[in-house]
Amino acid sequence: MDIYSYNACVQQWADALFRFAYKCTGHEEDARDVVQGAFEVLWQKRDDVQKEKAKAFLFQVTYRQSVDNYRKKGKIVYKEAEQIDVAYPHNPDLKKILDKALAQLDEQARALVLLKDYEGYRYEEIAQITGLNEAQVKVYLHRARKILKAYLVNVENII
Amino acid sequence: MVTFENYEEYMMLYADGELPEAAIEKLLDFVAQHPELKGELNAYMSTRLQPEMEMVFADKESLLQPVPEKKIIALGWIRYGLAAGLALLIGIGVYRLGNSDKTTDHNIAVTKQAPATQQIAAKAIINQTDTVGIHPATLAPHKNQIRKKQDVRKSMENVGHMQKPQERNNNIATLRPSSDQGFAVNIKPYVSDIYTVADPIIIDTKKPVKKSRLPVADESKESMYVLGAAISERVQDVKNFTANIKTTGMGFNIGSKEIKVNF
Repeated sequence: MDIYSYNACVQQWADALFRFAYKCTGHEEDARDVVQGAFEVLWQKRDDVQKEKAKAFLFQVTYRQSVDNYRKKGKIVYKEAEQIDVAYPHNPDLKKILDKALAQLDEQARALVLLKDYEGYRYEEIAQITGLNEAQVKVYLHRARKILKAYLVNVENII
Repeated sequence: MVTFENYEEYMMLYADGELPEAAIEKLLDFVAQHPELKGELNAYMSTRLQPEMEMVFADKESLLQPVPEKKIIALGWIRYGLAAGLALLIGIGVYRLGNSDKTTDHNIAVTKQAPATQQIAAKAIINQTDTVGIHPATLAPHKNQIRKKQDVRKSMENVGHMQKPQERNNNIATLRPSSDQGFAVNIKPYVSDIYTVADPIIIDTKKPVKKSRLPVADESKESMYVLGAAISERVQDVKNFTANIKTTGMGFNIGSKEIKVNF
């Protein structure tokens, strides 16, 4: 990968990586640091990374750093989740509820859901990024879906 | 087949986007047959997160690597010098090419006109017989007797044998022009096609050459014939000499034109 391909990756994937890192870490500054670190790693290993594999490589590095970051700090507080307004129960903001539900997941399940829903990766691709096997990805994802569904059902029930 | 035991698995695969098209139809048919499962299906589908596109990484430029600028060689005046040199080379090439064409054309023209020039020159010299000062006494011609050219040639050969080479050269040397008589056409041999005489031939521009009979006495006519024969012999000698010269030369190409110089 040459410098032009690297800069193209910055323009194309920086925002997606930031969204992913932010949802994983729960902190904007941490997410910025994670994304910056991921691109630094990519630049250092640019000779070994093919242009077509750059996106997966970046998400792989971001995933690992985000999980490490979360494990050091341990708590996610989304700004959006804090702004859920229960004064309007008939018009709940599903996205904000989902953010809160997402915060209930462990760091690995959260990352799997984000990779699946945000980036549309398939089980096999998620397995390559996270270092899990495909069956594990499927099981962890389904477990996360059940938790999210249960949270939404409970909210609806409360509302 | 979708059953109550596996429908939840189908629903999660459907929410993950991993369920094949045929399996989706089976699931939807099963849900249609059991409407109480519709709410659960909607709940699973609601767990799908949508990316927040408004969330972006600010200051992406800080992540970019500076592209190295291409090196620009500052030639300065050298650039103009190179351009001038190139123009000079082209000019020389064009000049030489033009000269080569002109020289070739001139050579062809001279070659083509050579016989006529010889005739004119011969006639011009005949007009100047008085100034040449060659005395045909040794030939002992008869008055009022017109000889055939064959006889004149034989007589001239006798003259040639009798005269020493130095004298013959002197005779030719007398043909060299004076400034008030006209101009000299120095027809030098060019390339391998040597057809004309090597020595200058005087063309008297003041006295136009006439094709009619010359208004001179018969004695003078004899002298003229002798002189003409001597010139012809000289021309023949030069032709024989040049014919024996081995042609050598060299050639080179300028662009698509091939230039050959033989000497």
